[in-house]
Amino acid sequence: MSDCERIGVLLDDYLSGTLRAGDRTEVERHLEACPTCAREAETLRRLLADARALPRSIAPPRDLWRGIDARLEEERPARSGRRFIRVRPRLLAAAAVVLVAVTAAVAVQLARPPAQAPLAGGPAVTAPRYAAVAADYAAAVRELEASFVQRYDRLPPETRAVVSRNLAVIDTAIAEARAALAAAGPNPDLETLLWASYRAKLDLLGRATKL
Amino acid sequence: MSNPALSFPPHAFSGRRAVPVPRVTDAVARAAAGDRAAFETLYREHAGRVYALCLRLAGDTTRAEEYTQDVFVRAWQRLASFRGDAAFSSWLHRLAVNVVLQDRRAERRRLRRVEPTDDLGSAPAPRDRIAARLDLETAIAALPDAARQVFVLYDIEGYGHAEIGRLLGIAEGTSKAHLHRARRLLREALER
Ligand SMILES: [Zn+2]
Repeated sequence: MSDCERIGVLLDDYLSGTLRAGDRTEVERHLEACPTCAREAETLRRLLADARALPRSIAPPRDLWRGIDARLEEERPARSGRRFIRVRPRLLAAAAVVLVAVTAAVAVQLARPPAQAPLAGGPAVTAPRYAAVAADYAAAVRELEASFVQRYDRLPPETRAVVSRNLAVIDTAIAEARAALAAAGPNPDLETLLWASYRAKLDLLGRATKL
Repeated sequence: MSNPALSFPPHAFSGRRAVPVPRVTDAVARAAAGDRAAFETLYREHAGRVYALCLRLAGDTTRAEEYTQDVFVRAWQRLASFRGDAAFSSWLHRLAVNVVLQDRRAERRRLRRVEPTDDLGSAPAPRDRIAARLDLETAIAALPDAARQVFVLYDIEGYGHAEIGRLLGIAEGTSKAHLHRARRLLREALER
């Protein structure tokens, strides 16, 4: 490889300012001595300066909003005559994943085997009467919450923090699932998620009150 | 500190009525909650930036319009996941790069199935050679796909080779090679 060819290879990094010091000196020396490479470097430098000076914003040749707006309509259709609550299945799915992680984290934190948790099974998930099942869960949660509150002060601060954080996550999942069900009507997937959220909460509270 | 002018912005003491200026973050929050008017405000503010990016990455005005629309539809779907830890404009910028590059990659795969081509070897489209005086934008648009994308991301948008490699699914060294080729091709096109 001739000197000029070698410089040609280094020139990109040189112009980008990413060449290490030793090579940089070599390039600079060569550019002082070789008019051909110096000219090439100058042309490239101008090109890069022009590229950086290009406008960052170019108005679209026609208004694209109408087309976008029409597609937004398809993405989140509002229901007439109903309170519109967005159902965000991906967020709910994420919440379900978080619940699994939460349960695992709490099991470690509390050092209690989950198998001993009360109410681990809970009411049947397949129960068709959503309202009745939801009421059962809510009642069970209230009971456990009461005894958890009584023990709360006696828990070590770290445990308290972990339990509180996890309860917040679970409560959010429950609220999301309920809101989605209220908006979308009966939906087996949402119900499954809601029951799972309730079970996670009962499991968490059950273990926390045994501490 | 006794001088209030030091601790309050100057306009707080001007005679003009203090009109709360809606911040972008408010529009983002309202759009995330499903407010389409707020989202249109965001579109008006950012459309030019997104369109310029799509145009240069795609090298084609029709495609750029389609991509711009795709970017905003995708942004609408994903606003709920926007955490606000980066500026909205940066988030949107990244989304635009992904929308265009993912589609270009899918397209290349489709094309490969029909007719395998080495895109480094493909010549600039004939339509782009018609113009006697090539300005820089035209010259960029005429570059082969990968060379153009790397040039736009590296020399115009300021991405590094490692990140470009990830975005395009190529090695860092390949990104450098594309940049080298893009710069040389542009120089030749502009010298003519
Ligand atoms: Zn030389």
